[in-house]
Amino acid sequence: MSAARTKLVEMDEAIGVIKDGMSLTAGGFAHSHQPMALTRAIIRRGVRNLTIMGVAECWVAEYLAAAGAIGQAYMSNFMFEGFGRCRRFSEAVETGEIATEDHSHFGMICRLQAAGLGLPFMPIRAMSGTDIIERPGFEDAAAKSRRIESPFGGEAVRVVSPLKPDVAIIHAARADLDGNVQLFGATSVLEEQARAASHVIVSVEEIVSADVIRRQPELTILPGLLVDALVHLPYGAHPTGVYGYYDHDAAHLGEYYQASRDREATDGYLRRWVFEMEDHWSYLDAIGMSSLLRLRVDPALGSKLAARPS
Amino acid sequence: MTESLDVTRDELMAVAASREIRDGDLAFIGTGLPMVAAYLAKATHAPNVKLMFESGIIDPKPRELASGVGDYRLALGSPKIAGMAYALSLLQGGRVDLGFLGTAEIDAYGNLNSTVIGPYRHPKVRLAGSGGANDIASMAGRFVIIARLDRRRFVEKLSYLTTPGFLTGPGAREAAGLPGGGPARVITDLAVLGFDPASKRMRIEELFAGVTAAEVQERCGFELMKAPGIAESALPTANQLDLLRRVIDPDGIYLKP
Amino acid sequence: MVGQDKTCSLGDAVRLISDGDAIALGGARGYDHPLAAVREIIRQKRRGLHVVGCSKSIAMDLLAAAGCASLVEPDAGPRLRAAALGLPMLPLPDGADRSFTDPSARPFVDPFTGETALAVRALNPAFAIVHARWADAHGNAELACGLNGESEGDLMIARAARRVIVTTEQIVSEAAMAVGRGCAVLSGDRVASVVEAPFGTHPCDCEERYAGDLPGLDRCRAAAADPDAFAAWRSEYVDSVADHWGYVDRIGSRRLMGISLNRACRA
Repeated sequence: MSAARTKLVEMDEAIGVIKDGMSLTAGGFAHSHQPMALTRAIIRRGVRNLTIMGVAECWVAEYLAAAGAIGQAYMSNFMFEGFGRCRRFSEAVETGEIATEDHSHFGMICRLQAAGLGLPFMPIRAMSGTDIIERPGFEDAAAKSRRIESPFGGEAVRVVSPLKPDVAIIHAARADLDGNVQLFGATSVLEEQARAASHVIVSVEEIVSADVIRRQPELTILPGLLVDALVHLPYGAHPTGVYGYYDHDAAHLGEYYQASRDREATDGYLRRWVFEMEDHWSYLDAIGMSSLLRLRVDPALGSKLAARPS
Repeated sequence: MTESLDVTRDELMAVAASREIRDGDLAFIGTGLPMVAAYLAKATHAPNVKLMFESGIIDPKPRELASGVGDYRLALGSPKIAGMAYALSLLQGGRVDLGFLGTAEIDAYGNLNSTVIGPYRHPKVRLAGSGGANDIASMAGRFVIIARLDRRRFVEKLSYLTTPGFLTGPGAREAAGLPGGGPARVITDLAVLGFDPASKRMRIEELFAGVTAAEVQERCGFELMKAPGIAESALPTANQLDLLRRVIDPDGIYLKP
Repeated sequence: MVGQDKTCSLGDAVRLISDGDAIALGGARGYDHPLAAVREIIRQKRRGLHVVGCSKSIAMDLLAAAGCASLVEPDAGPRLRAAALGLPMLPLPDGADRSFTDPSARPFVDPFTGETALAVRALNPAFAIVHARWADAHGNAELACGLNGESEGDLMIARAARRVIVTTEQIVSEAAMAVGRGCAVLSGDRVASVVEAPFGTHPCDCEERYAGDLPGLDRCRAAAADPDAFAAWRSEYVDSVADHWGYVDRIGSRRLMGISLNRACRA
């Protein structure tokens, strides 16, 4: 076995590939395992005019929209469970700053799958008959989806064209130096995103030995062959959670949600938690290790226990 | 002795929604009242219902009510946790009997809007988007909408048709190649609505106690048909209310006073 | 299981300890020493403590340097073992160092062999302070499995004492404790308090959780050896932080994540 070069790099080197105008997809969903540290670093870089190819990475989309980094969005749904709308994203669409192309969840998934499988289209049974098909956004309707006759006779079937993101940014539980990535719990759309994207950046809570990975290979969601760059970012999903490690930080998410009510407060939030943070460690220390440690999940229940006096 | 029970609108809706679940169904459940309704059904008349969530969590046994389908508390006791493609491909494979959906706007054919108010390209309000709603409505055996009656919600014409009910009327779903059966019921805070089999238009099927058809029509922005025999919707039983208040949603996360 | 909730703050747990008490500290040879509790004892300015343990440790040295300890017994293992077994005394094992300097050791004639042997008197401290990986609210605590197959260490120390203060990396549910991973589990009956104190042995190693923090250890050793270094250490790590959570914030993410070994919280 030849000695593989390690995939591990520093965060700034990893995100250096992301340039203005690129298309981006991000892992995670709801308040779980979204690559927030990577997103904050991308914002600090001042990257502009990104195209989001999103399924459910609401916090990534909202932060990038708040920072004015998004030009257009292929999307299914951006919404904060338990809170409400993604206000900055929504307002940017309302003012025309962000152009949208809507899909159902499965529609986006099928387009990513088509790209990952190298196929010219993917059949799908959803979306027909609705404005998702009838009222296009920025994409040419015929380039997005068609109705074709099945070559085996009988029925017409809807097909969608592939969507191939330039970059996927993903946050997961652990990986070895070869970039074999493992994740506990629900896995969002990670696999489809990693297979579809041209370049895959993964940040993880822990770097572990190859032995640890090889003892439980069924937990490996992305083998190293799909990973281009690996970054060690403990608490890299904060303020979202990572199943098996820590719960989402509801108070901090609420703080953002409140701030997103208006432009000025949003800018204040971004200044405090993104722009004034020199690096990931500064961010974690601004949150405070004591706060982060209190987010840990119970090993049996999977979620954090109710707060106790400490 | 139901007169002495002080029931809230949310409780009425949750109980009415729970009745739509048949024992043995595989049901696709979203956040909010659908989750409450689903766990009530499971605890009462539908112990064998299997609940599935678009996050990829299948048949969990949560100890506490989750704040969403991505909430880690929801995953407890699940024999299978996968990703979104897994859950939604089971839906496309025809395995899901029932889905529950909420909505910003709904029309007479049970079509839903969760995308924009106003024009698509420069909307007055940009909403969340389809998410799994279009998938569920397209492909589940049947689906049930839960929505409070309001003229701004129940509209003659949707700003945008996100999610397919009966589309333009009889035969339209079939023409579009949608495999699922379409909307079965609409659970509101005043009445249980359904769809006229011939025209596929929304109609009043059950009224909650003390509510008239006229009151229901008043709150609806389009003309509602009436089912041949409009029944009074059974009030929640003491057992159902106890389960809701003490076991399922004791902190009133979704069941507001 | 219906049981008492014994969780409390580190401050409240340490307030149970009175001046002059004998306290046994858990840990052995650099691992699992309850440093968070030690810093709190120093903060609360306890005096006249009889500090015992199974090996010399930086924990004992700091208590001595702080003036909290009037007597330190780093080799009290045999005495604690006697107490843990409920015995008034225990013979030292054959081949025990003849120069064993425990003043409580006495020679006696072995009734079976007629040989002269040494015995030590049981020591039954008011408190044992041990650091657990996991503990539940009732005080059931998963202790270190022990280096080199010694699975007894902290369990023995806990059993020797009248009451136990458990600091733990994480307070977990009964369901998590029930999983049973083959580690030593202290049963909660004699536990007086359970305190959640992640990185509670820092800068010492915590087996399976984090390695030693070398700069931190250097600071502690210097503090134990020199009054000026002690004053600076005390000022930075005791007096200017409100509690252990403040200490953890002060040490900071880069160092704590740099030494962490196993952060997954999975039963």
